[in-house]
Amino acid sequence: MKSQHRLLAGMFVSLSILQAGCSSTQLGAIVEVGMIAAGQSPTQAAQAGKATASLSGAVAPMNIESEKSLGGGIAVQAYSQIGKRYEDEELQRYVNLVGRTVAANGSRPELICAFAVLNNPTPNAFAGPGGYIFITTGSLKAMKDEAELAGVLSHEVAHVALKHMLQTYRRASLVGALQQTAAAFDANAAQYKELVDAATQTLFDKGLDKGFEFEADKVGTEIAALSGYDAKGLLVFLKKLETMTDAKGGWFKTHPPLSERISKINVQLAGELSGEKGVVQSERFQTMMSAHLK
Amino acid sequence: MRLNQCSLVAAVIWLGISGTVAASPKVLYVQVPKADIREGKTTSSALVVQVDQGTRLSLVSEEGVRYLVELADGRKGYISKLSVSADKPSSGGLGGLAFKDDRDVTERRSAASGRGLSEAAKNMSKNGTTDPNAVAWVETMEKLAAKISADDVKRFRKEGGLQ
Repeated sequence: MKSQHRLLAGMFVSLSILQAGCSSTQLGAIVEVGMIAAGQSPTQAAQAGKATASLSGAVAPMNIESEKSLGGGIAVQAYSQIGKRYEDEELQRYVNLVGRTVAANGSRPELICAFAVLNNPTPNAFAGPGGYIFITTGSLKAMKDEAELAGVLSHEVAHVALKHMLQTYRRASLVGALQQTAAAFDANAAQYKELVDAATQTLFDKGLDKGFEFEADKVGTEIAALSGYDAKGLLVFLKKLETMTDAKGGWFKTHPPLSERISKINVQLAGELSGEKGVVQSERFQTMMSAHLK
Repeated sequence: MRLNQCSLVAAVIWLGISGTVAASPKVLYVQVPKADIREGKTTSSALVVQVDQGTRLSLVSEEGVRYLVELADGRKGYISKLSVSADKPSSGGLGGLAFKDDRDVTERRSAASGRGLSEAAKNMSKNGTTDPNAVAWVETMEKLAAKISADDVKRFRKEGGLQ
């Protein structure tokens, strides 16, 4: 009983150390040494070390290189399952410029986001780990101006910034795999594919937690406003989706009811973002779409 | 009794460290490459000054999605919470205050992270279940993102009349 309490206390303190930046493995070693110094037997100390490393793995954040590796695999699946690449360099570049404009006001400027247009008529957009962000031609066709595009991309940037996908995967019991390094992924193709398949299914079929979607709407709307765009862009797009019957396979499938989302954004616009006067920029958007979107 | 004391000590240490992390910061650092400090709480309010990443600011008060901050020269203004955090950036850049708890320390210390597809992702084309062009398309996506510079984005913003 006594040793169990010490073990618990040791792990408790160790998790605090973890917050300060140690890896799970380092933490296990620290605990093991500490337990021996405190008079525990090497066997008990080793057990405590292993238990701490395992427990801390469940709460430790994913290394950025591993996140990008996982995201790359999901991006490959996106092109395989959602739509082929839309072959127009000018349009791809334009979407990247709008995306990068808003991403600069997101919370992870150390991570350069990559944006791409998928050839799929259903309005949809999604983000994978590591800053891979996709939008379909169906979404672009439903839009009238750059503020709408910026609003949707800001929502996706917010998912990346807030690490919603990684939190979702953690909840979906993919915890152990998330602690792998990018090099370990490279060395074990079967395990990597298994993780990518599970993560892809979560993202495309089940969707993210409802709370995460509301949070991405809120933060995304603020990011768009902060970037100089009309803060109503996302709201306008969502209202449009509400009237489109062919949108049911996209955002309708994995996101909370549009009416709830619209209502929450309206509250935000009338409250903390009231008085914002960003640009809509319909001319540049329309010129680009009429020349490059078929 | 000693057992409870042991747990109590651990709890105190935990609360101490957690409390340090969660407490409202008095000093904030700019995390994005450039951030606007404005007279009012909206992006259309008059600009006080544009500050660079790493600039140290004193927190005056919290107002919705913004902080009222004071510069070293005594000037005050509002800045978005998304643009600052209590962490001093050592290199590259960091996230906003709202997201700091889930950020990897390695990531915090890393320089701006370039793009590139991992070997594991490239090898996915070998398993026969993906589109044969998918890996090449992701690589094209990566290359395009890498080609767009900060100056390109700046020019795009200016041409579009974005503040």
